[in-house]
Amino acid sequence: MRLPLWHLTLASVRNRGLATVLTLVAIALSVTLLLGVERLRNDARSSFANTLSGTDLIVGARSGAVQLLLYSVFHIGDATHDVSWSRIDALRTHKDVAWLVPLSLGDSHRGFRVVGTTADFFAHVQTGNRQPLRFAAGRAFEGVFDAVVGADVAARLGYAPGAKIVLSHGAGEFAAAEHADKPFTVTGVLARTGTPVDRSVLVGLAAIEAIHLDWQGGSRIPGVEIPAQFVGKFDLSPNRVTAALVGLERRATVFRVQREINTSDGEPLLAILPGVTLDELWRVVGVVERVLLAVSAFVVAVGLAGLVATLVSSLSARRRELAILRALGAGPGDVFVLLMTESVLLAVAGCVLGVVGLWALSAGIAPWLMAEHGVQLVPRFVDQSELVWLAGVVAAALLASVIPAWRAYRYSLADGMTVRM
Amino acid sequence: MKSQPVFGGLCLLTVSFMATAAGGAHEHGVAHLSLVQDGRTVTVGFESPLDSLVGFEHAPRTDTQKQALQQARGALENAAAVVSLPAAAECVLGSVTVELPFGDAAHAGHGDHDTHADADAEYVFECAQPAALSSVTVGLFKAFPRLQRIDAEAATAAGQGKAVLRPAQATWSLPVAR
Repeated sequence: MRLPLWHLTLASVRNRGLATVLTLVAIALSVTLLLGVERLRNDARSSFANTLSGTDLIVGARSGAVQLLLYSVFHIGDATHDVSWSRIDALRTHKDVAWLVPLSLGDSHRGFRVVGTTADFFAHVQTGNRQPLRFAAGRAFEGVFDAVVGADVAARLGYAPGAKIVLSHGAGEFAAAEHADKPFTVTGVLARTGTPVDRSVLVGLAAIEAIHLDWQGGSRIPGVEIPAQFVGKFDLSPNRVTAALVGLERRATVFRVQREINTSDGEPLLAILPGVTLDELWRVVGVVERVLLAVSAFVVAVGLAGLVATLVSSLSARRRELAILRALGAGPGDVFVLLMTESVLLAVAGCVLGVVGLWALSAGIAPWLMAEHGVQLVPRFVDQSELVWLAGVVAAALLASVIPAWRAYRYSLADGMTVRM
Repeated sequence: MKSQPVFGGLCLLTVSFMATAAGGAHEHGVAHLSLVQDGRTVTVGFESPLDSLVGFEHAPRTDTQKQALQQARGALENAAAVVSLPAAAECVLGSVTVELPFGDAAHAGHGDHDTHADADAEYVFECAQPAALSSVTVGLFKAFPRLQRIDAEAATAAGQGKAVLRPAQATWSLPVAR
């Protein structure tokens, strides 16, 4: 009775435990890297695409389109210029404009960005597939020193409606210049959106003016201090804002309004279509992504080369084993299949381990990625496109293992029981 | 002779509001295409340096140049050859507007600088199934071999998007609803 071949395969793999385990680890790590790069790329793209919806145009000072998108929506980088309020206010009354949400950036609260805006923000800003913002607790800001915090801010700093917070000037984690004389009261906490809104502190435009009443050029005016209870006596209408989100009455006018803004006289403004600019950004990033993908494909190739090297170097030690198999009636073809089965088995096991490793890794770093970079990494096993990658890895392993299998086949033909060891 | 191109430019500056993609820069070989879907109305705008279409940017001097201009107009007016929308969207062409400089003799003699000249075209379709607008195939590269690249921007109910079209890649995948 012939034992099935796979039984021999298992036995021979077990016989060379350490080398096998190390090869397996190399393949698993390379598969984790390959799939991880691909997955990070896809998840980052969908996170970015889900950040803003329903906004037709973003208007800011004339600079780069990608730059405007990054600082206004993703809170990445800073604006080089801001825009005078009169221009933005004029745009609000443009006949094609349905709504306009101004954004005033530049302050922070314990590492989180402070966004000065209007209550329209909660009515018009949508994320994902046209999902409006929801309050998990409390309500929108009303008074000058009211603030609404995003889900991450509330969770990380333990805020609930009623909490008192102090804003800082600038965007540093340890911003020295604090607006401690004018504390804010949290009036609302937004439900989680998976976007930079979660990491924002939202206040009214008047609040931004109020905390800077006794400031000039980025620092406090010496000797001047206007207590919070007196800010109402000052004109708190904004002078300048950073950018504005614009919704149009009819989508059909979007390119015309954009051109109108971009070619208007006076203060240079830039209007962008967020989705179009995001695609421009991906075109730039695409080069880096392809390089990363190529690097990880090479790492997989290195892993498979390791597999082949292990098998080839084990062959000389296994000449006697193979010869015994031959003597017991195994044909040269059986020896060939035995070797192929071994390496494919290792490759498949490596892929499985790699996928499990990726799942564990992504589950581990997902909260950090979300908090630090706003990228929503969804821990999952494999999807269809990843199965194609894995099949490619196994196919490459199959192809590569022809080398050791062929050598074994040759040995088994040439060698008798005469091998001296 | 120096005067006419200018007028063409100025003239187009005023009309260019109607049918242009956002990109404003005038780069030879590169054209701009925009597609806006609002309800059932789909508006496709095309803007190109005149040079990319006919090989010159001045008033036609020879019969060949006059003919080239005429041919360009003919090609742009043939909407089906410029853009083909998916049959599933059931689109019917509503109107075609083509604005070429130097087409009108009355424009001659104005302006006083050499400048660039642009061609504009606008196509308005009524589509019974706008949700089926998944892709657009552009025939412009065949009609105008000098055209190397089209920067295409779209705003539809599904979202906004940008694509770069080239002679070998003349099909434009429009944004899909998430």
